[in-house]
Amino acid sequence: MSPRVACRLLYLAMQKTQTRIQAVLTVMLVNDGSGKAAALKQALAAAGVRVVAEVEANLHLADVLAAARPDVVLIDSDAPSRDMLEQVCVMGDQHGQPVVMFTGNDNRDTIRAALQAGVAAYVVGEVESSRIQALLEVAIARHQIEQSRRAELADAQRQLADRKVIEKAKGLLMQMKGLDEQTAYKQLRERAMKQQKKLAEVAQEIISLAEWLQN
Amino acid sequence: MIAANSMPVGKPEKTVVKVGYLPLTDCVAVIVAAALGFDKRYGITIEPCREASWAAVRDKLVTGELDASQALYGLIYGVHLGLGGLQKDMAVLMTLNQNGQGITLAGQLAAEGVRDGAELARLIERQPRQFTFAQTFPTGTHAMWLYYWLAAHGIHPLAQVKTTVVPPPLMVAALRGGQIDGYCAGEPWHSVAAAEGVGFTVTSSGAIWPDHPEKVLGATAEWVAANPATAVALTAALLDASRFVDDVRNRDTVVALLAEHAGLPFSAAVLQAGLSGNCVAGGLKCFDEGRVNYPYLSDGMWFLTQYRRWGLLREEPDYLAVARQINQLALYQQAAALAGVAMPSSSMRSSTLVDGAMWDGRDPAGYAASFTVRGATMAEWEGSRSPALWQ
Repeated sequence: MSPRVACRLLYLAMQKTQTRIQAVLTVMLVNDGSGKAAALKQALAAAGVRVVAEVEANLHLADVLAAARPDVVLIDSDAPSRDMLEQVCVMGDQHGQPVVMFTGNDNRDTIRAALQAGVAAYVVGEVESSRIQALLEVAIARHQIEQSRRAELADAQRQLADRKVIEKAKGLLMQMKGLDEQTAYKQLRERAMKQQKKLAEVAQEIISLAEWLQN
Repeated sequence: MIAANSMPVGKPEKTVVKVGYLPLTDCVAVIVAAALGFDKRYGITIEPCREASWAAVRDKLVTGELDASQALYGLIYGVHLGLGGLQKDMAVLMTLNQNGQGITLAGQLAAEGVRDGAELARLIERQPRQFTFAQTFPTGTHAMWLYYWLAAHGIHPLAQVKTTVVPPPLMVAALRGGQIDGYCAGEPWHSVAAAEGVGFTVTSSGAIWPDHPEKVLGATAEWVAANPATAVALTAALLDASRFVDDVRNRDTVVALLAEHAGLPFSAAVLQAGLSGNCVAGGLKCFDEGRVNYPYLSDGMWFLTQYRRWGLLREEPDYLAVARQINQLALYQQAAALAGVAMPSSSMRSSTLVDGAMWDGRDPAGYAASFTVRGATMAEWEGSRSPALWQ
């Protein structure tokens, strides 16, 4: 994605979130690090941001997260619970909330890497309450862009995989039933329509069956 | 063409080397190398850096805040493959230990008659309540040992029970509090649970896979390419330290160093239990004449087979090529020569795991596809058991 498109998307996403942000922003605070959260909590309160859950080394972080459904998760970069958040990211929940990390460390490379790893924003040192709202809004917008980018990528990959399967099934039909390409494709499509299934699903069934017959 | 990593060893490019570790028994070689000056023999100073989470280790390796780190084998492979987000080419310089992990179950399960995996499987079939088991990192070794052991007893780890990540220092508290029914982690967390009487170790990791690879010395490929002589010096220093740790005559010294430097606030008896070959979690090996430390390609490939099995890898990887990229065989050979450590005759090794399956690295795709309990969800599992036929 080009920077210009990214900027445009960011703008659009922010406009979209504007309507929702009229309501109170909610955050979940994960706080089992060195206690950097105390100052942040004050700033959040002053900014009118609601802390819907605060967990200290909570063992059911994923469950609390699912129950509280905060707009943003705030976590200390030194918290051992970071590995629990990893699990949430790797094992599925693709619609996960944006994660904002707070830290005393202002190493630029660290921030860049964290952002690449899916962290939506990085808060360094103390934050004025006047800036918090904007910061969280940008984090949410960024997260939405990232989600849609990933969804697009997954979609493109799936389409490519589907096409491969369909091509293969078409080839099998041509070979087994002595059809030309167009007729093979037509028969595939008719079968899919009759069974109300996706073309790729029907194609996969044919491939599985052919493999089974050949063994 | 001469590959960069077969060049003769020169002067270390960096003299101070920051090496990350987590407070665990098997960080011992890093602690010992720095404390006893094995690093100075090779012209470097190791600065051990204690970290709070594996995610922090990963981030700091990737950004260069750490030069190298003790790491879960599967963490290095996971980052190289970009599982869970961040992708960066990674390197394994050596294996730091085999075995020394385990699975501990809650005392409550023992009261319900569970002594082994088969009885656990029967209990889970019988009782419809939610069972929760913890491991330490989604792509890590403990996740893979836990999944493998449950599956070997016919329990689908991702469909029939809940698996979650809990940081090792919180495991015992979680077990005591009843939030989890058991966990797979490293020592000393099994010895601690036993000493506090909250759980019992149902299997050592060495019983799941005898002499399995566990923690490695990891770095980014970029760092290794820029600092090959430092990488060799660091590996050689850790080989010397590993030799020292495995010598039982040094046990008291090693326990004292762990207690003093590793951030493990436990009695000497508990630390000793975690280290010793007869401990409850069984069989930690740090050296074994270098047989532990060689970064076998078949070891690395095994993790790829399990990522395929559990749906973390959607596509078939080029198993051998990935392992060759990550495991730095040529650099290891130089370090082994410096430290006077024997090399194995092959970059593959053969093992028989708890379910009777043999793994020798020869047919990774076939091996990955051979498991009946597989897939990320119950639907996928059942799908794999009944192939779709023409209706």
